[in-house]
Amino acid sequence: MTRKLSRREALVGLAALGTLALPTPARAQDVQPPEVLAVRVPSPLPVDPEAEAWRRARAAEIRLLGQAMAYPFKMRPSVPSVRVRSLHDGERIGFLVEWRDPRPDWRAVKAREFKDGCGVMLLPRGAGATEWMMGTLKTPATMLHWRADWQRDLEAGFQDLETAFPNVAFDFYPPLVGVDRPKLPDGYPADAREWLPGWYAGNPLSQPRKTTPIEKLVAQGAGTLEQLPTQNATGRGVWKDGRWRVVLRKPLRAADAKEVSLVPGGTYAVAFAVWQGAHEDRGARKSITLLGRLRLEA
Amino acid sequence: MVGWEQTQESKPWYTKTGRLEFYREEDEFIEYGENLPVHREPVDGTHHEPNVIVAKPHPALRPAPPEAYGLRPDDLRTEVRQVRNVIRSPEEVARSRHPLRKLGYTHVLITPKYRHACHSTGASTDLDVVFWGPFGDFYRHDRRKPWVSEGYIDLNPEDAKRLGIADGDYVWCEADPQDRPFVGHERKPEERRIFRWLVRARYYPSIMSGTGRAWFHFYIATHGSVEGHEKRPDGLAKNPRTNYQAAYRYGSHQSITRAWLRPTLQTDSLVRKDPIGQVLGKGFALDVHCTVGAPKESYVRIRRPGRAGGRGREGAVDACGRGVPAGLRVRRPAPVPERPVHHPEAEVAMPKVYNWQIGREMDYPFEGRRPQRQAAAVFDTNKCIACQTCTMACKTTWTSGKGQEYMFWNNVETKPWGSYPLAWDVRVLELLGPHAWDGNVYRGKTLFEAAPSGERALGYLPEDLDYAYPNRGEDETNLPLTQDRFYLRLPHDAWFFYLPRICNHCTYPACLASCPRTAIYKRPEDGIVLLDQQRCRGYRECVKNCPFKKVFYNHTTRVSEKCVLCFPALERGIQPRCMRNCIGKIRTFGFVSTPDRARADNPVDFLVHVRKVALPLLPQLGLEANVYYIPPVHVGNVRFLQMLFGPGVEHAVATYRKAMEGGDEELLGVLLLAVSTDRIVHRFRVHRGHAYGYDERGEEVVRVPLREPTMVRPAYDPQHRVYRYNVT
Repeated sequence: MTRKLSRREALVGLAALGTLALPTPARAQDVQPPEVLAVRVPSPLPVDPEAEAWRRARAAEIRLLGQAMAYPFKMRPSVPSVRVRSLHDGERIGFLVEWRDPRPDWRAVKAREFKDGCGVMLLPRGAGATEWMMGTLKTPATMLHWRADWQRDLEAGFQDLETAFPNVAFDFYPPLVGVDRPKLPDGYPADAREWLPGWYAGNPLSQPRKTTPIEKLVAQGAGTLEQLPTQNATGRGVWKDGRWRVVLRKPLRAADAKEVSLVPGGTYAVAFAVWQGAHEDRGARKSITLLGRLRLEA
Repeated sequence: MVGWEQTQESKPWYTKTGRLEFYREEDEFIEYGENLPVHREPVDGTHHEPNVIVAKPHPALRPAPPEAYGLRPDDLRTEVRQVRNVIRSPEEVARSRHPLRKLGYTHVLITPKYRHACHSTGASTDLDVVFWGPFGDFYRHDRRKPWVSEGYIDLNPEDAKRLGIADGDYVWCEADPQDRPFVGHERKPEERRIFRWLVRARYYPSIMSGTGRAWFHFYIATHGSVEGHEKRPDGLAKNPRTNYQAAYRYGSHQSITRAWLRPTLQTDSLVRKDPIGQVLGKGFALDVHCTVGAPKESYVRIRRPGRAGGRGREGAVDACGRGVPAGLRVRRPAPVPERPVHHPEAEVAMPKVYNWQIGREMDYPFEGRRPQRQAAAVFDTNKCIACQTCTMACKTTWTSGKGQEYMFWNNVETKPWGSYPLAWDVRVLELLGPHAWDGNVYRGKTLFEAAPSGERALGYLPEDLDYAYPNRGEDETNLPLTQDRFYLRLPHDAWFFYLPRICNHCTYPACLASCPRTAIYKRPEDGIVLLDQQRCRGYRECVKNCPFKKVFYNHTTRVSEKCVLCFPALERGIQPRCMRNCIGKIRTFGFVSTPDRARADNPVDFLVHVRKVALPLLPQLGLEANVYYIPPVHVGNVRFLQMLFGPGVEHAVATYRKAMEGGDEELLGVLLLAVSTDRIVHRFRVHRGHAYGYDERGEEVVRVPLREPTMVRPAYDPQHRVYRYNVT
């Protein structure tokens, strides 16, 4: 029963974007699509946002818009712009994405807590406005999605409910009789996981053990986002002095059928997104760039 | 039944004469002034002179006065008070005062039993105690709380205000210092610190001035629990060595009560029945002739610890050095945000669907398609006793996992003052604004039609604290009960009722419409609305837009969950847990049809479409919810009921009343089939004094008589050669 927006509706949405989705009353020509050059450097590609190697890339400051193409809309962006740099070493490509955020939000435990995040969307060269809306059936979009909550899980251990509710009390969690505050994941044998339905069902968001802070995703239209079978994206985010600086990396060559494969010298379509937890951003409530161009140095 | 054999079969009473005796001739009873039926004021729990015999002078009443025991007539000490045989006329008693009044004692505190437990069972598990009164919170946002819930005193709000006590304040409650909290406490300050009662005060509109009430079930504070409360960083009143968990910070209701050793309850000479068996005996017999155990009552003083200063208590520190957490003092729901702005150019044309509850077509983001059959239920609010058995059944089945602590897929709230989460109904109605019905057609906007630009529906996301205190407002009347309220008239001017709620498995769910990923779907075979645990990405658009707030975010798995209507049981023809476990048998479960396809022999269709005694919940929201309610017929505020249940209220009330007066056997029969079996009843028949329920295949699964048959059992059972007895 899914019903995607028709072309007419998409154009109406885009028109709405022009009038509504800017942080200040600015003219449409003020907002430029990204132009990103991935500079070639020797291996290894840095994962640390503060590594020297990033200076070799050219920084591009890109304006962000709201999102008014798929429900629910976000009329104004949370952040005015992102600064993007890109490097590749012939094997992997990396993006350093930076934006201003007065408050880091790395926890999504409470019902009204949302995490900070950023994303890179990759599409083949020639992709246009329609593909920009999270890909199409014919042209899947590849996404790298950095998540502050996964970053924290990795660095400080799984952030369970006690981090938000230190005074919680509960007699016991079945079937773990006599265990006070069992810890995930080691305190939960396989037969106990039924009581954690997301985990039991294999939802990647519910797996307490994280190996990377970056999800590698594919979408073929709004609402179809899924994790790709091979989760080999890496990266790291650091918040300092009111700014997030996040590295997102993936191998150039696609590991999965629907993933975008990159080659040195190639040109692709790219867009960026930012989620500000303090603004209750999540899913479609995101600040996005127009679809622009990514070129890999040969 | 007590006295059945005596009144129906002329068997003798358990007295020396074999007759009911309204006097006692034994010396002790004459000595204590209880040889005639007299009223004695309580030994402690009275505003007046305690333990006096209230009677006009009578020649047969000649008790031994205090002087006969070597006591002064004005000696009112606690120990001797029990044997003071002083006669006062009713007028003299009314003019007299309890000796502790001059020390600022103001309240008779009673400690009765509550429906949520039998003795301490039910006060000993976290799941039950969280629903006990208005202070339940698994996350203990207020770290002062000894456990996930706690004992409290119900006070008349005007009394409390006069004493300078705000709703939710911790207070010291003290009884006669001569012997409570224990004899010799003045010389043992360290022990006194453990047992002096610190307890939560709660404003309760329907308790009379001068009386306070505290339930007697809760686990008391001990040395170990106080140690836990004071030393643990989370403040849990839990003994570090034994894990004993108290429900009080300090002391307990037992700090202010004691047994009274009334002489006439301890005679050896009284002839009476044994507790068990058809046997006559004398003297002590448990529960027949002995001193009173529980519940008990006392005369108390209630005081706030220390001085808070200022209007709010934020920043104040109580007597135990613990501060009041900011933001917890007075909790009101966040103000309604400004009415959202519409940008017509950004809107997209939506399909139209037909919603019979509002009598018209309406917008919905998906094509209308009804399931093959729609699971549905009818709740009779006139029979709900808010025992919370349904809540416990659901929670122990589905939401006892980590991250699910605060989730109540089923809850029972008191109306008008209760809600879970906080003010969910007030908030959604305020967001929507007032709209009108035109007969049975709703002319206002639904939540979809009132959606702000860029949103699928109108909604709001609750704060985590909104989910705390799920049973706030329990048993609170709409108005305080004062002398001039005609609350004994029907319908009541002063009222409350219980509203049990689950996910309504709506025909046009707001949650399903809101999910950008269609992770929520409606099963075509039975209309159950489910949230795909694998597909959800925790956006919580569903949590925001469900007006009933029956989708919940799991703090540990970081995705959302909701009621599944026990579909594994449904698929085998068994009713959901919350339905089949209902003690009051208020829930009729089955499948509802649209009005044009209603079957008169389908119990749910009969209640909803034929008799129209079962009404939808908040139909104006436009979701076509599938849990229906028989409105409470005693509630005097019809407009309040219409706001909740729509325009059919008056007809439903009249129809139900008629059935209760014997004028509708068929309706009576259907209601008696509720929870008569755990099988789903698809068809019914009322015939010759019985109601019959049939399953999907037409097999009879239950038969219920319309009138409870009378059973007479002779006192002697010749087959087993024993006497049957009344357990009294």
